[in-house]
Amino acid sequence: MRILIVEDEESLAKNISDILTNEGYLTDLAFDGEQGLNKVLNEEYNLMILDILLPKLNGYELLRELRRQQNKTPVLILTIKNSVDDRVQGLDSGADDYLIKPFAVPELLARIRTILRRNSEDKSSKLGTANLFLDTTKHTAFINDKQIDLTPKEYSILELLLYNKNRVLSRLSIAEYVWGDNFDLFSMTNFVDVHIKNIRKKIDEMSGEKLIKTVRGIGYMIEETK
Amino acid sequence: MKIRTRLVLWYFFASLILLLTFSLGTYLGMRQLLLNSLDNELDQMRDDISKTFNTKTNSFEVLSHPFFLETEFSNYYLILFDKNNNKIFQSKITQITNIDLPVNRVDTNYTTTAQINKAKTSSEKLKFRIVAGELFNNGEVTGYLVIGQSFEKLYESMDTLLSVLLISVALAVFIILLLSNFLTARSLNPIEHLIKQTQQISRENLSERLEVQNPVDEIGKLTNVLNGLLKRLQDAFNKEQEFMADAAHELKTPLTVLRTHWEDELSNKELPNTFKEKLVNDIETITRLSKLINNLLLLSNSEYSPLRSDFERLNLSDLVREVITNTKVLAELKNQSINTVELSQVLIQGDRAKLYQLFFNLMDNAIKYTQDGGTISISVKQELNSAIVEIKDNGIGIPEKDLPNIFRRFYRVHKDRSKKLGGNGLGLAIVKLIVDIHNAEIMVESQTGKGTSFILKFPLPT
Repeated sequence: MRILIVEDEESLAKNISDILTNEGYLTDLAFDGEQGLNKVLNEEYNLMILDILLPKLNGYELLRELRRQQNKTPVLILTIKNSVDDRVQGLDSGADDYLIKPFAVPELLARIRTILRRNSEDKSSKLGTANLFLDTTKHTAFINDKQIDLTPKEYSILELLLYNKNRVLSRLSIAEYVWGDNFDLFSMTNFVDVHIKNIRKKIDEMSGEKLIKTVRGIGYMIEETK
Repeated sequence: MKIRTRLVLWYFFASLILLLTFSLGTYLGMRQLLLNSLDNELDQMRDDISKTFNTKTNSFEVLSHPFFLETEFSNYYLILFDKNNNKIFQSKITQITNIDLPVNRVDTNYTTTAQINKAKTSSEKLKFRIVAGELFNNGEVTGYLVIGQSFEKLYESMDTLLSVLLISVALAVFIILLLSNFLTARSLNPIEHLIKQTQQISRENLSERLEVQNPVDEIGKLTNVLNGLLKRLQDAFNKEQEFMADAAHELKTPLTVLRTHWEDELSNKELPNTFKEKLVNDIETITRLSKLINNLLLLSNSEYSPLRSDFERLNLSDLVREVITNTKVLAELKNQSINTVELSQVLIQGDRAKLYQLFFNLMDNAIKYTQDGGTISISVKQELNSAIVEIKDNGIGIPEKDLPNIFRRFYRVHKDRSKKLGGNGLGLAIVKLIVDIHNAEIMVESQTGKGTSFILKFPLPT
């Protein structure tokens, strides 16, 4: 899987690149709009991560040009602005999804995986570990092929954990993913504990193993079973 | 006082003074003129009598027609002497009263004013103009005379003149009042127009300019000056917004770098957990900082341009119910109960996301500042032309001295406590902002130790 990162802040571009490389993706970098457009037009990428405020050619312009040339590379937009208008503009110019800076790494990975999954040949591939798997199109969870009754929030938490297998997720990142950034996230972190407790109640007994690991003082994680 | 009223009054007083001065002059001049003509008339009389002297008979011919004298001079004070100073004629009035004059010294010519009793028994005085002196014929003294006439006729004329003058002045002043009222209204019209135009320019349409009708006159110049001011204002607002957007960008990008970096390190197996705990704290701080930047941007933008709001018709109770559902868990963590007193169906025009944030902030505050086991009561109802939402807790309350300040940015009532609870001092400022966007009102009632109650009043859509 090759991912092109178009971001003028070099240290951020390199951070993202490092994270993605560790996750097993191949990455390529571009530091301005023109360079980004050249690369995405001349090489094959599975995804482009695109900043909006870029020198030479901004993200929207790049995206419009890309779509005008019938290039269907999936695009994830990174934006500073936080107004509905900007999001609509991004999606209208042909982006697949957007993330608002500063974003959480688990959310970035979850978004990337959602886009890649949506655009991959194998649409049946399911998200899961051990005897737990999620049907991401129907938003349902199964253990040993038996459906478990999860609330939408519980499903979102489980989804994020599974998209970030082997990564420790802070309660804050989980709260942000589930509730967005409109809330007082510091109160919401208490919700996360409550929800995790409820999820465990529902899945641990049926699964027979403790799938969600607590990392004391830090957060939660699901480990990939070998 | 309005300029228009003031100008009319100025015109009024100025013209009044002018007209009164003119009238006084006319009156006094006229009086002098009439007095002179009175004297002339008396002199004329004297001459006329003097001419009737017949040298042959050595007497005044006029005396041979006493009837003529009686009628002709009935209104005059007239005493005639021959050259030997013998009284040869006197008119009727002289018999009623005597004039206190040096009558015996008629050989001296003089003109004087004297008081005469109107009747013998009356103490009412009449003012007379008196001329006395010698009568001549061909350079020889033929006799002496005292002749006088009452001022009454003069006074009558003066009275008539006075009333004519006063009526004219009153009429003129009235006309001036009407005219000046009309003229000032006319000349102030462009100012009224300018005021209306200027009033219509608010932060929403700062790019609009005032229409200049006549660039040469004072109003035109004023309009140009105002337009210049508007342009500078608009420039300043734009610069401020650009600055805020740039600042937000410049602040958020490094925060993103830090956050992605720290978050990635959470999964680094080589790092000890104690260190990762510190990283989690740092990530929280970074998030807090970026939320703060967002809120500041929201609040500062709102001062210069209206927040683009997506208004729709929505049911307040549904929204409040949603907020309650999402905050219930927080209350449960503190064993607090949420009591919905009344949730009536009330439709208002509003921005769903912002109203959600408004109620969330208030609920969140209520939960934070109420002790474990407390109660939070919520009601939504319709009263006359408003929708009323009340969120009431029995928590620690707000001291009276802090109440006027709670909507100020970064104002913290419970300084130590709110920091621990993760507040940034902007929650209620944002509440106020959202209230303002909706043309709503917010009221607070609070008693230390007893609880706080926020009452919101939204206008109903017409």
